Amino acid sequence: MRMRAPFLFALALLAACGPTTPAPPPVPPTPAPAPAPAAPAVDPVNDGGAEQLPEEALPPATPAPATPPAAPTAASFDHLGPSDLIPGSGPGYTDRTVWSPTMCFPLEDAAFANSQVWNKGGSKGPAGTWQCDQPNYSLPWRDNFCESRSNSNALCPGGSGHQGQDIRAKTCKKNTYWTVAAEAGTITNIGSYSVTLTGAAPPHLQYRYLHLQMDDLAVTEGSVVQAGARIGKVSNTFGSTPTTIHLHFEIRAGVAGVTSTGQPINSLAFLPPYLSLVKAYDRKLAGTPCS
Amino acid sequence: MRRLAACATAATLTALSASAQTQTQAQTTAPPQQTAPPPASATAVQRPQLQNLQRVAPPRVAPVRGIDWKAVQAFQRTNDARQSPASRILNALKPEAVDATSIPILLPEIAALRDNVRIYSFGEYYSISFELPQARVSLTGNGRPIAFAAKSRLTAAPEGDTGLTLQRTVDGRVASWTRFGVLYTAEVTCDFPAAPACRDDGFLRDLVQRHQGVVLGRAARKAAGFE
Repeated sequence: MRMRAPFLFALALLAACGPTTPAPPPVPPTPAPAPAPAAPAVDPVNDGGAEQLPEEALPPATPAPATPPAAPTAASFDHLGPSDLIPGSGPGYTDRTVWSPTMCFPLEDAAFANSQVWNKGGSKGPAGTWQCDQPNYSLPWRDNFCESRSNSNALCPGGSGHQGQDIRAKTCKKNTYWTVAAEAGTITNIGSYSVTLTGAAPPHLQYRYLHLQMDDLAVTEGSVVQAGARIGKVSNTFGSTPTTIHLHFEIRAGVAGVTSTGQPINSLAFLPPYLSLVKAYDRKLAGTPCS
Repeated sequence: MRRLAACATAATLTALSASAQTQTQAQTTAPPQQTAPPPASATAVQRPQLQNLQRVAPPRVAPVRGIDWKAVQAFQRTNDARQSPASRILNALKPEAVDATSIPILLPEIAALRDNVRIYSFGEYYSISFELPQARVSLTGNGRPIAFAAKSRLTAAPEGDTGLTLQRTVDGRVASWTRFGVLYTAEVTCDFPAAPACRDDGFLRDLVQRHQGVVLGRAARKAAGFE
């Protein structure tokens, strides 16, 4: 209203100047909003959701640890701190150890670490959403080690939980994006939907890559690989029922420790991979070659 | 002249007001419906300095407490893999890989073993793979596990003298136990969870019990001081 008054005043002045005052230029109409683009074409997949049988009950929820999750490391891409899981998705495991400090990031292209169960399109994600929804392919990263699962994990409160980290590839297209060797080693086992790489150097960490496109692997059992060598493409293989398109990535090692009851124990353990992945991704973004 | 000046001023004012009005209309009009955002950029918020990335200490490997070679010798007197049913799997392994392994190789007796058994030696660590009906088996021996800080407790219940633990994985099950100071594992992965080898702990417990043959390769005999 305040802006219109001077305009009208000016018009009035102009009208007084003569009988043939030129009209002001017409205000162009506001363009109609552009329609939203169609969703990107992807292979239709079943949102298999949790990496366990649907009829299996999850273990009782355990309370989150009292220690608040660590703040994100400085000078890095957008990511939440370790053990900062989606609220209600599991207890997490507060650990700031970088178990594989020189690890090569296990995907060749850009990637997004976040829960494939609790985010959009997951079996416990918001209703009516889709695994290919954009937020799943956006920063920040989020840890999901020790997310609630019925699989064993001695580091998780209660002794069970997610054994690795879910990582989505650059886009929601399966059988396209390569996973690569986290360090130099040997492919020591290939399962129905898993590949195990054993590191050549002590402590001989085992890296497991699950849900790859198993009929088009770049390796066979016994392959000796360098860090960064191609292994297989991110897919959704999971036995007879496909899961979402993602890499389930594990770091395992033999450990000598103590149980919660004070008993000495030597056992194969699932180590939290999140900070190792963050550091590896930092190096990748900085252009540091895998070696 | 004054009338001409006034008209010029009026024309200028009109043009300016019309322009302002156009801008005002654009601001008060609802923004166009948001389209799907472009793919998120994964570029760093701030390029990290390489020297900062390198300030990370690797995990501490447990000190070598020493393999109990006397216990190995005693066990081998009655359980030499070369003279036991475990010889079937031993004979299928590449001799050079056996000789390169510096820890005792513990082997199971398995009747339904196919001939294609593979061993990968990393000196103080080895991995053996073979197939059974509906399952794949992976056996490892590890003479240098990672030392876990005492404050980082593991929620597990080791069983018996060997501290046996059994864990369920995404695609199978894995057992861990200790003998002669070496950490051994046996893992089975299946095509589907209900497969007989994976649906419960029974198959794996039986497989662990069958580990009754031990062999020392050349590197192990040297490490033990036997030659």
